[in-house]
Formats: sequence, C-alpha cells, structure tokens
Amino acid sequence: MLLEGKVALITGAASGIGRATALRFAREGARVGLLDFNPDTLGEAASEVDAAGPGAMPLLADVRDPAAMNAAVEQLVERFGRLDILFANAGIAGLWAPVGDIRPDEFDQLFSINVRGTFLSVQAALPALRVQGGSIVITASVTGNAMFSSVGASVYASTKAAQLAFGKMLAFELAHERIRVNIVCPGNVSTNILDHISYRNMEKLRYPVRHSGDVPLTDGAPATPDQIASAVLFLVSDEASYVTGEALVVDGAQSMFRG
Amino acid sequence: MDGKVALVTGGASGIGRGAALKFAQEGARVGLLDFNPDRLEAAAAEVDAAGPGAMALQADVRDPAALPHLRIRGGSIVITTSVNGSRMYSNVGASVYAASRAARLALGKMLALELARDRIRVNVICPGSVATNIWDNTWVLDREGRRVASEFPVVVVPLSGDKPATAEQIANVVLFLVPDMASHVTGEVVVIDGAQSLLKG
Ligand SMILES: NC(=O)c1ccc[n+]([C@@H]2O[C@H](COP(=O)([O-])OP(=O)(O)OC[C@H]3O[C@@H](n4cnc5c(N)ncnc54)[C@H](O)[C@@H]3O)[C@@H](O)[C@H]2O)c1
Ligand SMILES: NC(=O)c1ccc[n+]([C@@H]2O[C@H](COP(=O)([O-])OP(=O)(O)OC[C@H]3O[C@@H](n4cnc5c(N)ncnc54)[C@H](O)[C@@H]3O)[C@@H](O)[C@H]2O)c1
Repeated sequence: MLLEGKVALITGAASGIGRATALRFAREGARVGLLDFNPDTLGEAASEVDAAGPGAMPLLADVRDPAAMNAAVEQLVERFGRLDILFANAGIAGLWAPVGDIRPDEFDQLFSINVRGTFLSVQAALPALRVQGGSIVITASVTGNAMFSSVGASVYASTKAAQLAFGKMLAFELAHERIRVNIVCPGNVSTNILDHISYRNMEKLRYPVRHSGDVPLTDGAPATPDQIASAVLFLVSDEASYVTGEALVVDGAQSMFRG
Repeated sequence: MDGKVALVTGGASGIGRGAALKFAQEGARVGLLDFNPDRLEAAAAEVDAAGPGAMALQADVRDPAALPHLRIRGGSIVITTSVNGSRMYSNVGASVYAASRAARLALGKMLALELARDRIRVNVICPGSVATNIWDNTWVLDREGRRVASEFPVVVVPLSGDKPATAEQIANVVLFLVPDMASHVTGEVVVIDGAQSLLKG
C-alpha cells in the first residue's frame, strides 16, 4: 500500500475526480478527509470511502470561506492526528460565453472558487503539513495551460493557468520545508462538472466549441475520474519523492491534437 | 500608426507611459488611462506634445462602469504579463502575483482565438525586470523568523550586465506587436528579459 499511515485532505471530494481520488487513497491505506460544499453528495461519498479504507471523515465547507477551511482542517487533524497530503481539487467550469458578455460578478465567482479556493485550501493545510513535511497536488487543466481552443472558456482557462503558476511558485517556496507541490492537468474527464456549467450566447462564437474524436488515445472518449486519480496517487506517494513543481498532463494526447 | 487610436491602461507610469509615448511618436492618438491623477496629467501632456493628440482618462480598471466602452472593429490588443508565472517561479512570496500573471497569459491566448474572426489580434508580453515605479505599489512582508529558502545570486540580467530594461525597451516590442508590422501575429507570447529567466528559473 502506497499511503499507509498517511492522512489526506481532498477538496471537491463528493464528486468526480475528488471522489475517485479519495477512494484510491483509502484503498492505499490513507485516512481521508473529504471536503465539499454539497451536503447531498458528501455523506454518501464519505461512507463509501470509509468502507474502502482505514477511515474517512466528511467535512462540509466552502473553499471560499477561510474560517470554514481552517475549522475543517482542525477537525481532521483532531480526529486523525496529522495531515500529510492536500489535494486541492474543488472547482467549477462556471459560465462559458463570449468575453464581452461575461459580467464582472461571473468572472469573480470563477476566480473565487478556483483560485481563491486553492489559495485558502493551501493556507489552511500548511501549518499541519509543515509538522512532518508532505505533498500538495492542485487540479488545474490542459485548458489554459496546454490547450486554448475551448472558445468561450476564457475565464475558466485563466483560473486554471493561475492555479498552475501558484503551484509552481509554492513548489519552490515550500521545498525547504519538505513539502512537494505538483499540478495535475486533466483533459476531458467524465464527471459531473458539466451539470453545473452554464452557457450564454455561444452561437455568437463562430468556432465549434466541441471537436469530435479529438482524444487520439481513445478515439474521443474522456478519461474516467479513476485515471486522473492514478496520476494524483503517484504524485502524492513516495514513488514521486523527488518530483516537485511538475505539471502532469493526463489527456490522452488531446492537447497534441488540439491547440 | 498614422490614423490609429490606442488606449493604454496604466498609462501614467512605467511601461504604459513608455508605450503611449511610442504610439504618439508613430502617429497614433492615445488615451492614457490610470487611477493615479497626479502622474496621469503629466504623462498625458508629454504624450500630447509628442504626437497628434492625447487624452487623460482617470479610471480604476477594477470598475467596469468607469472604463470607456470600446467597440473595436478590427485591431490589436497587447496584454502585459510577466516572466513570473510563465518562465520564472523562484520569486518566493510572489505566488499570488505570479498566479495573476499566468491568468492574464491564458486570457490573452484564449481571446486570440475567440476574436480572430473579428480581425482582432491579441498578443502577450512577458517583461523581466524593468526600471519603473512598480515597487512603489509592492509590499514586501518580511516575516520574522521565517526560514529563507535559498540565497540566490542578485538578479542577473545576462544581456545587460545586470541592468533592468528601460520602459522604452519594452515599449519597442509593444510597438512591433500593435500595428500592421505584426499583421499575422496573434496568440503569441514575447519574453523581453535579456535572458534573465534562462539563468534563474
Ligand atoms: N471534468 C473534466 O473534464 C475536467 C478537466 C480538467 C480539469 N478539471 C478540474 O477537476 C476538478 C474537479 O472537477 P470534476 O470534473 O471532478 O467536477 P465535479 O463537478 O464532478 O466535482 C467537483 C466537486 O467540487 C465541489 N465544489 C465546487 N465548488 C466548491 C466549493 N466552493 N467548495 C467546496 N466544494 C466545491 C462540488 O460540489 C463537486 O462535488 C475541477 O478543479 C475541474 O476544474 C475537470
Ligand atoms: N517593472 C517590472 O519589472 C515589470 C516586470 C514584468 C511585468 N511588469 C508589468 O508591467 C505592467 C506595468 O507596470 P510598470 O512596471 O510600468 O509599473 P508602474 O507602477 O510604473 O506603472 C503602473 C501604472 O498602472 C497604474 N495602475 C495600477 N493599478 C491601477 C488601477 N486599478 N486602475 C488604473 N490604473 C492602475 C498605476 O497608477 C501606474 O501608473 C504591470 O502589469 C506589471 O505587472 C512589470
């Protein structure tokens, strides 16, 4: 088992990539705090993860709220005694629209969940991670970092680029404290993220938003959340003990096909 | 740039002021937008004297209502970001600044494609160290007792023997990207750092 004795905190853990990763971590021996702001899905995810490993704990919190994030980490450390791993993964795709049609508050919502949320997750986890060293993984995306063709997603892409730069800065800043920081850049993944996306005036954008068959490795099929979880598991485990500041693209060569 | 009209945000100081001056010297009329009223008037007067016309626009770029509403019908956008967040990640303490810079880079690339059919080109510049007033608005918190990661050699700019770029050297690149000289260049990122980021990552 790769994560025996470790304690992990995963944000956005009630669904998709976060939930699949929580399950993998548990099966590898980690105790896991599952943090999410959706109470409907969080309980079930935490019970599933609890049954698969040595312990799991649901943490209902919004990553935008510093007090709630600090309280969540405190509860987790009180229950499991330590924190070794942060997977800062909560995120939304938000609104996709022509740049002229996006309101400032819609811009702020995306940045506050994806970027401020990542920042606050790191701040909350840091004191506990510093105790014995540890590992942080941030979920960014190929969009904004290796792929720029999802027309209408200009703000989402910008948040993902910000997360990557933030992660690389921290890899250097925290290296001497024995905290590794890496970034995972998924391509398309079959999760619930599209349920919460909204589109406006996309017909005004004169490029097709979706390309078909554009994932060479799978003839277009998206990754399963578990395939992303595998990459995260590698990055947080001691198998990657010399890997820090890396942005791992997991996209079936999609970003080779599409710019 | 004869007959063109340009808007420069942060036009009262540093890189923005340098670019506004270049544009004017090349025949453009220029709107200088800034939220610092003192520097703005002086900059606008200087730019006005150098070309066919300049206008001071006092506004905060965070306030959508205060910004002039542009309907660009074909044209060119240049976004200033930085080597921080695109090629350099070692300035400890600048994690949020670097994140904001990377966001701007991605925004520029996304918009290059989105706006290509409207014949609007979008390019991004990444300056290294530039001698401007930027440090007036930069706060460094020197937290007591915090361990320092590593001691780096003082910032070294190989091309200039350690001298930062002048705002004019940056403005020269903006001048290339904006008018028709770069008519087929869009979505491009130009690093202007005298090889600084090749030496220090
Ligand atoms: N699905 C993809 O194709 C894809 C591709 C690249 C990157 N990503 C990134 O992967 C990450 C996970 O997304 P997913 O695809 O698993 O989506 P998902 O919608 O299935 O899961 C995201 C989870 O995050 C939670 N969440 C959202 N906002 C939150 C907040 N403010 N506070 C706490 N929890 C919050 C949601 O409740 C949800 O449970 C996101 O950062 C996303 O940008 C996804
Ligand atoms: N100087 C450097 O070493 C350097 C390096 C890389 C990138 N940059 C970037 O270059 C750009 C220009 O910076 P500079 O070095 O010329 O700095 P500067 O401080 O000399 O000029 C910036 C100008 O922007 C104005 N400004 C700031 N906030 C504003 C707001 N909210 N609304 C309107 N105006 C505002 C300021 O009043 C000032 O006049 C910045 O985006 C900076 O991040 C600078």
